Amino acid sequence: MAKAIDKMIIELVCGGSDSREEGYRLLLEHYQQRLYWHIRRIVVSHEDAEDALQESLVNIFRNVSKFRAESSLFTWMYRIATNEALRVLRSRKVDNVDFEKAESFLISTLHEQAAYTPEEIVVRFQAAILQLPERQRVVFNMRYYDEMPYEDMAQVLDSTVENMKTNYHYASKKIKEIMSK
Amino acid sequence: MKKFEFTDVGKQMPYTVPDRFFELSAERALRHDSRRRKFGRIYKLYAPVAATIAAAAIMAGLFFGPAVTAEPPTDFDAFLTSLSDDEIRALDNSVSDDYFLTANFY
Repeated sequence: MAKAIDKMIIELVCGGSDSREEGYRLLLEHYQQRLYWHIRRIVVSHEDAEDALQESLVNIFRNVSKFRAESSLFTWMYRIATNEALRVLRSRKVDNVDFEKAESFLISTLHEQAAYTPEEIVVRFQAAILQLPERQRVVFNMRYYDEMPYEDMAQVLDSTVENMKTNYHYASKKIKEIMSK
Repeated sequence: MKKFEFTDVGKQMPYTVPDRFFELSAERALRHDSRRRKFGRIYKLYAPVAATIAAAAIMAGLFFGPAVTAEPPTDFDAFLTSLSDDEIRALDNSVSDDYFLTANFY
C-alpha cells in the first residue's frame, strides 16, 4: 500500500508543474503527521518541532524529484527529518550549556508542555525516554512508536541491523528500570 | 512497586498540537516551495543577462576608460628648475621645519 502511494507521489511530482502540487499534497497528507511526531519526540518542544518539520519539508520538496527508489520514500524522508531534528536539538543544547545535563533541558520542556496531561505515567514514560543517550532514544522511538523494521531504521541512521537491535534492547531495558523505581 | 510493562502506557504521548496546525503547516511548506521555484525561474532568466551586462561594462572600461598616463618625475633637477622662487622657498621652509629630516639622532 505504502509503495503504491509512494509511486504515485513520485509520478505526480515528476510529472510537470501541473501535477507537482498534487504530488506534494498527497505526500503531506500521508506523511506530514508521522514526520511531525517523529521530530517532536526528539526535540520535545512544539516550536522546535515546527521549525524542524518546515525545514525537512523544504528539503524533501527540493529533492524528491531526484529520489531514487533505493529505499522507501518514507525511509528517505524519515532520514531527512531525523537529521533536521537532531540538528535543532544540538543547537538547543549549545544554547543551554549551563544545564548540568542536556537531558534536563528536554525534561523541563516536557513538563512545561505536558502540564495538562491527565496521566502521570505517560509523562514519566516520556521523561524516561529522554534520559536515554541520543542514539538509543531515536532508535527506541522509531521502533516503539512507528514500528519501523530494523532494516529501515539502519538505513535512516546509516548503521547496521545488529546495532539497531542492540540499541533498542538497551533502551527498553533502561526504560523498564527507570519506570520500575 | 509493580513491575513496569510497556502495555501500561501503550503509545500515548503527553503532547498536543495547536488547532489546524497540520493544515497550516502544509500550506506554508507549499507556499515556500512555490516562492522558491518562482525565484529560481527569475534567477535562471536574468542571471545570464546580468552576467553579460557586467562583462560588457568591464570590457568597455578597459577599452574606453581614461588611461593612466601621469608618471612621477624621474629628473629631480628638471623638477626643481620648473618651480618658481616662491615654491622653492616654501619647499625649503617645510624641509628645515621637519623634525625628522633635520634632527641628529646620533
